[in-house]
Amino acid sequence: MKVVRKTARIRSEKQRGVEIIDQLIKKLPSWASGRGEQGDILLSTRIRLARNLYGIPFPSTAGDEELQAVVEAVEKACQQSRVFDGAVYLYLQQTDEISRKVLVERRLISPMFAEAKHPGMVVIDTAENISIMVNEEDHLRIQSIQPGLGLKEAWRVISRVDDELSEHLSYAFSEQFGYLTACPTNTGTGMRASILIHLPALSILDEVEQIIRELAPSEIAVRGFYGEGTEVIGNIFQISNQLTLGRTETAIIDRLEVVANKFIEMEQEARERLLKKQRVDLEDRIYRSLGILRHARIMSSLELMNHLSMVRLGVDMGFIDGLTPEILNELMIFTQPAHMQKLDQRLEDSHQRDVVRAEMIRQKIH
Amino acid sequence: MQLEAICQICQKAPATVSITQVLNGKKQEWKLCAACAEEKGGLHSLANLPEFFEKVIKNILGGKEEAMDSEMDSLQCPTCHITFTDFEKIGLLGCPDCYDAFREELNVLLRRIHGSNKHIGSRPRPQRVFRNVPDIEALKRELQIAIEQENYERAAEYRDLIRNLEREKLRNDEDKERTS
Ligand SMILES: [Zn+2]
Ligand SMILES: [Zn+2]
Repeated sequence: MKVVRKTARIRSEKQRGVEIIDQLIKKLPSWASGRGEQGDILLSTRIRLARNLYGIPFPSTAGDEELQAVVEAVEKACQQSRVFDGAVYLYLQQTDEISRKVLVERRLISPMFAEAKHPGMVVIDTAENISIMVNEEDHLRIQSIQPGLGLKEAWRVISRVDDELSEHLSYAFSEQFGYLTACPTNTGTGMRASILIHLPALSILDEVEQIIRELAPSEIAVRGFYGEGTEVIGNIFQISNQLTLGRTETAIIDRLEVVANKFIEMEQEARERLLKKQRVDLEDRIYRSLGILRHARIMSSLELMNHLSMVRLGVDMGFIDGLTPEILNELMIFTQPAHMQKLDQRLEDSHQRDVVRAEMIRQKIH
Repeated sequence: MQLEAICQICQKAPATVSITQVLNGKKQEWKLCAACAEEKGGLHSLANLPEFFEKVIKNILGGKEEAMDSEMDSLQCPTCHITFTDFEKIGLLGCPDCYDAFREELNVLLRRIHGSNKHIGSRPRPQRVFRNVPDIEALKRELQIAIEQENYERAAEYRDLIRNLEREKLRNDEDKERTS
């Protein structure tokens, strides 16, 4: 009798998980609104905090029972916090593979977490501004994503959430080392702040590498794909802090903001230079990409990112009317493989997806 | 280390994509197979790139430092029982108590990673009322010294810390007033 009831409960939770993802997948996360400070060049800002609970081993060492206890403690703490009014709680073990991939594509969980077999949970607030991964590398990975250059806003939001949770959970904290994390590269503030920045003009001029060398101090990391990979990700780079100990959160944020603003300035300057010296070449690239998006019948997600970069540049520089960053972000998010498969199970085949993707693009860009 | 033909993540498929990462001003190249490049570091999981690279770096460091003194084997956390050698292999500590068990080693390691082994950032709310909050006057003296030594980076850190503590103190005083 007991067993039957338990199976029924798990099935209904599974059902609930599916419904949550079905709801999630229909809307654009608020960080993808395309608004936000410097939103044309700076796509989004993210801050994450790593936190752990006293008396429980870190997830890589803990047993399933201990990890389940962490899930329950965090859920209870969130329910006592007003920030999480209306939030959804997704249990990892009751979330199928495709739904997990959707969460990865929406940047709510990491690819590593998507593969976890142990008890874990994802808490997501209604606007997808705040979320928590429970039992990834640390017991809690709290993250706040904001549109545009939103470092200060992300910090304001996340520090409030963290403060509230710290009253209901006993965080592992040491006077000397600060917040104790599984990996020593996160010890101290446990904070990683990062921005996603679109640098098409600098990429066309092949100046990104040199600028990284000049602009990024040792404690800032810039990541991106080069060579063959350059086009793979549509000229989007990620800039983040490397160090977490011995500096305050505000100092880390201030420094990252200075670097971000320098990159923005250099990108704008590069755009002006292209306009002055290579206007026809620039226009040709932009309108070619627009033409392909308008007319292609087969489109892979990699090729799409490529052309989206050029079209985004065209929109930013006023060459293209009638398209907004929001529409481009919608295309970027909703045409990802798991998003498409979740909406239509027949789209398991990638060629079939490429055909439908081209259709989706033609509906938005005409 | 040979980085040529085989993917550095799955160690199976031939590497066809090269990814350059600039870390601490140093350029580092990764050779990956198309599947791993797309799956793990691909366009849509870009946001997770740092964590992903951390893992790769950890693996490589782990490989290098495998030949460690056997005395590190006997250095063990009494709570979770992992040894310091275990930690060096996987790059992850086992539990919060490891920070006490390996205090000396971590002091060195943390200074090497972060250039510091002392947290000066925010604190959990319940800890803010504890008595061993850093002494603001002592910090002000440190700030003065840093300025005199023209170590402006350090000075900026102290200034932030003092500002944070003063703000915290204010908040605590307000809390106390409200509850009394
Ligand atoms: Zn591979
Ligand atoms: Zn331990």
